[in-house]
Amino acid sequence: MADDLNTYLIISCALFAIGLFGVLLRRNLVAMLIGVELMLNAVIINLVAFAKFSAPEPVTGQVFALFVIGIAAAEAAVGLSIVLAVHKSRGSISVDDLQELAG
Amino acid sequence: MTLNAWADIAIGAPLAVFFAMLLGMRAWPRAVVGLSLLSALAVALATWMMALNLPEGGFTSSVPWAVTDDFSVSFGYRLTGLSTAMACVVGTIHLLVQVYSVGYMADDPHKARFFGTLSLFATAMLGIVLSADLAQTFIAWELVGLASYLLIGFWNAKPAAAQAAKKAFIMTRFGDLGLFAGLALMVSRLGDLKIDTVLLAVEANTWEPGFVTAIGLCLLCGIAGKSAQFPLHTWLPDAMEGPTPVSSLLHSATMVAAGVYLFALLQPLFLASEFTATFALGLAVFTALLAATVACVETDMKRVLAWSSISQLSFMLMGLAAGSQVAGFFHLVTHAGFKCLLFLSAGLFIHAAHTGDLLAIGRKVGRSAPVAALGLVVGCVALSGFPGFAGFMSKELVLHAVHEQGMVFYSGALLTSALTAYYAFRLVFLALFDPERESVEAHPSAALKWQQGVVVILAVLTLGIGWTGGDLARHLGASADEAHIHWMSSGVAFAMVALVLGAGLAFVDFGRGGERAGSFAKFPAMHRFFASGWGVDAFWRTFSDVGIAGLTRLALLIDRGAIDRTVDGTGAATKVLGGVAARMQNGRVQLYLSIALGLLATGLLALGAM
Repeated sequence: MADDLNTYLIISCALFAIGLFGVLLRRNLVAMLIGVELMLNAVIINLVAFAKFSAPEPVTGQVFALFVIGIAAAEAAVGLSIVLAVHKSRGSISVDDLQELAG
Repeated sequence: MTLNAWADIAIGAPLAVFFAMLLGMRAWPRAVVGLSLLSALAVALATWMMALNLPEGGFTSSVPWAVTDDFSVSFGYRLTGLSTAMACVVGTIHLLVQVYSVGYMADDPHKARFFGTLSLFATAMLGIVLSADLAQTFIAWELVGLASYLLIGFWNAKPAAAQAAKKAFIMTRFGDLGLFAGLALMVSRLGDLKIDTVLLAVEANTWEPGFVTAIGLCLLCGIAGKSAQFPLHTWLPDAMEGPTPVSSLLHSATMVAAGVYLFALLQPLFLASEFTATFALGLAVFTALLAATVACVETDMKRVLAWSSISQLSFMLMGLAAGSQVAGFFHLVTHAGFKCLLFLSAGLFIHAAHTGDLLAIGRKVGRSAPVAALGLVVGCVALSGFPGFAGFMSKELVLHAVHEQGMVFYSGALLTSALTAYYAFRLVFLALFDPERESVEAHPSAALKWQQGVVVILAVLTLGIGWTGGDLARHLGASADEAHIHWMSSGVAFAMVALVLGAGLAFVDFGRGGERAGSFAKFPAMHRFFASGWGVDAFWRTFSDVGIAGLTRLALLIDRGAIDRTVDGTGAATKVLGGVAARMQNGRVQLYLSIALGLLATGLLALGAM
């Protein structure tokens, strides 16, 4: 594969689709969280790729990617603690058991 | 003083009395009575001053009141021979009735309310008479209806009086619908409703004949309601539940005269359409005949007089519809005199006998009340059309005018004349010549003096009023010849025959004592028919029962079928749609997300395709 923008975009797109697939179809809360992480990483690849090919000099793209990684870590912490709380209160982490808001 | 100022006094003084009563003077009844008498005097003076100082060609003044781009209503006075003559009748009768009421209502605890409302009645009637604009006339017209409602139902603790008041109000409102429609039709073609504008438009002949006929018929409907013509006449006999002075005023100068006055005022409009004129004439002849027959069998003194009023009002309309303003209006004037006299005399009888029943009055009072007897005799002689007396002079002119319109109408009018003579003399014989009269001592009181004085004055007026036809004709702007009676003509001879037949039959039936039933009772079916007022009352009852009930049922059907269905349907549809929406809200976060993404993708695709 050639070392150009398209290659990176295709890879990031595939990663995003996989993450989305996980979020939409998996019933396990932890699996869904992993899907979200995958989508975040797809975005990071996008950011870095665009920074490299269109505005290489200032490293803003890379710096921004570092921020996203940091925040993603925080998000994972919050998300996992919610999963833990859910598991404590109902003994399951399947979304099928979380339907109190059904109309 | 200017004519404007006199007119202000005529309308303003009684109105002020009414408001003074309304705003708290009820606590001092004597003060209200005094004020009311003063204002009545001022009104009478003002009306006569207006009539005597009327310039050639009349006097009009008005100020715009409600003005829009294409329509304006003005308030003002329009003084003509006709309106000032009518105002004099109203002013004079109103004064006499007020004086009479001082005695008649002396012991009534609510006499302040009575006198205040009586003053409102005068204001409203003068408002019609002096008005320069038909919109103003309409307002005053409704005020007359209101005042008559309040007065007929004056003894409102009596259920019959309350009923009669309601009946009068609703029946005349029926007619007023027609009047209002007529005015609306005129508004559709005119920029304003000034009487002069309307009369000019009629004179210029700018409207197509069908339109003129439609207006005429609509207005006629209002007149039939107010002036108690068939089929809206049934409220008038019931209106006898009011105090006698009210009946007297209502029957002679105000209320019922308003309809006839409106006809006289807009006579060119009615005559412009041959159909309307003929229809009005036919209606009047029919009503006259109907009312006269009922008067022949009625046994309550005031109700006999009420039916007689309906019949005489028809005579006035006959004269007007036949094209003679002088004849019709002259009959209004003479009738105002003798009918007021008759009612006030009847009031004396009823006061003495404590009942309105004719036979009971004959037995208990009869000739022991000489002033009442005098009033009754003079009034009945005038009513029956005795030559030289008031009723004869004016009725002769009416008959003369009707004669030119065809034999059918003329013979109907002549027959009614004969019946009039019959019931008038029946009244006299039954009330005064009962051979089995118990002698009851009279109770003279100070209050009675006022009433007797008024009756004597009215009797003198009634004797003289028949000879004023020429002056009245000149005042109306016609030549005195129009009021001239051709004594040596076949018309007078026919009228004499009718009078002699009617009075003779009354004498045979009632004049010689014995049985008090009369010729009509020999035909029980006919007697019942007449006594029931030709079934018109029953018709209205059925109409209100069946017609109104049917209308109610229709309304119910519409309510249940259309309105309820619509409302219920809206609710049901909301529920169904809500169910569909609720099924989407199943609490699955992933489904929500899918839908959101799907929508986003569709939106982006659509954007891309543009």
